[in-house]
Amino acid sequence: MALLELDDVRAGYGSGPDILNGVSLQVQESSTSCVIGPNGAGKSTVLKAIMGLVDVRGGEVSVGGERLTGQRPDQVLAHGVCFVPQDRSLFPEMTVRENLSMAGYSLGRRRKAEARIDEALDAFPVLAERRSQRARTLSGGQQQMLALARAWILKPRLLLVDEPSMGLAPQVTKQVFDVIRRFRALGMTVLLVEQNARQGLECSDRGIVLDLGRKRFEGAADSILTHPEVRELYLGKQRERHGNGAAP
Amino acid sequence: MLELRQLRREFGGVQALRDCTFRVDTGTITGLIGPNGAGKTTVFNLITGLVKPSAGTIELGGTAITGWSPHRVTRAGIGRTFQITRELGELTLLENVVIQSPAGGLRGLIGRSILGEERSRALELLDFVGLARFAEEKARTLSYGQKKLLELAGVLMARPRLIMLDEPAGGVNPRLLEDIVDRIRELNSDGVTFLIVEHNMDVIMELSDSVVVMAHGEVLLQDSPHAVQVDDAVLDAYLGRV
Repeated sequence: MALLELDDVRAGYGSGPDILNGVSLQVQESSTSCVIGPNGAGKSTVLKAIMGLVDVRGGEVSVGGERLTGQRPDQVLAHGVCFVPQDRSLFPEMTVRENLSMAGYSLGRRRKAEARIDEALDAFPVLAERRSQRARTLSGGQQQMLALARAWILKPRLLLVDEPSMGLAPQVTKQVFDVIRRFRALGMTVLLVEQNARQGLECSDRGIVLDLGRKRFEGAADSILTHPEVRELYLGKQRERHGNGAAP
Repeated sequence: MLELRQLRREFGGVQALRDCTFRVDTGTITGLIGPNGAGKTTVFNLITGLVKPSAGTIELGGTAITGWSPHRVTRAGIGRTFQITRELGELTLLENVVIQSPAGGLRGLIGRSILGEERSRALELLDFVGLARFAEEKARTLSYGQKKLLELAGVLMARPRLIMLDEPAGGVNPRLLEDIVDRIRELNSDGVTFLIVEHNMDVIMELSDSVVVMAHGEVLLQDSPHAVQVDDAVLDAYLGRV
């Protein structure tokens, strides 16, 4: 059963052109899907459109059959959708524990929040060791762990993660993807955007390929990279060339 | 025309560029591609003097320009645009172009008296990029694609031999993109050499005589567009490693 559905979604920023030009996709409950595509394909905009962080100019976004189109980010969060953005959006001057507490506020009940924070610190020992350290002093990988731990506290029905490997060394990236696999093992539904297509697809059930704001194709994650259109998508159409490139 | 040899640059502990070597032949269009973080913009910043290399040399027409200041690089004949356009929104298009004249520059704008020769050159360039009818409008009124064309007109004011374009197609609608591509072709057929960073692969492969592929701060290869498109290592660089 599909938890997330996008139907013919058009979206863009401010008065600029549409970045999504009619994207339709579904993400099945308790599965992990990875959106891949070249730069400018609209991958991150898909997540922002779901989260209410960008103007949805047409089409529908729904989660669990409930319409989220046009709702504010806090309203979307209240529907159990959590977003881990590319820049991680931590509070740099707050400690690790304070950053986790900030996530806990949206749970409402203090006791429940405290229990979830303790649970998160158990699940992320690297953060437990640094609970009193300010977020800005953490390494890139530790900051990504903290961003994911904040989502962990909320136990979302749908987790959206934007470029988790951005700026991380290969070994650290592996640890971050291990955490995403743990979300999936807990039965959460995950929609991931990842520039490192191999890594993103390796921890996913489905792959969704975007190009120029449209879905180009989708399929089982392990079949995506052997698709005949992948080369053209990343390296352009091959043409016969004549002459030296001067004006015709 | 332009030759980079063993260029290196670190930022803190991060090796942004390592032993980067490639060349841009006179009269050609050379594409510079690679996944995010490959080091393409760092290469542009090193060539134009915005950032100094830790090691290596840059030569323009046989003259070493390594470590030169940006204005000296401009005078040597290199013009450059940026990924995000940098127009002065409250100035007119005409003023935005004139201000980039090495002869007049700011002097031409003081007291709003634009020198005659610079004015006619700027109008000619605005006409070339199809924006002459907006010459007296404020630059902030332009669309993003039009701003890219305005930037090109401004760069041409200094009559560069080599123009470096950083993502000329980014965020531009298809009709304006055609205009930009046509202007690049026209300038190239008049003898201007180009080095272009671009993510729109259809555009860059169609325009370029030679393509340099970078990944992880290194040059993976420099070859014809077709050779690049069929190279498995290039595709691997874009798809990432596990």
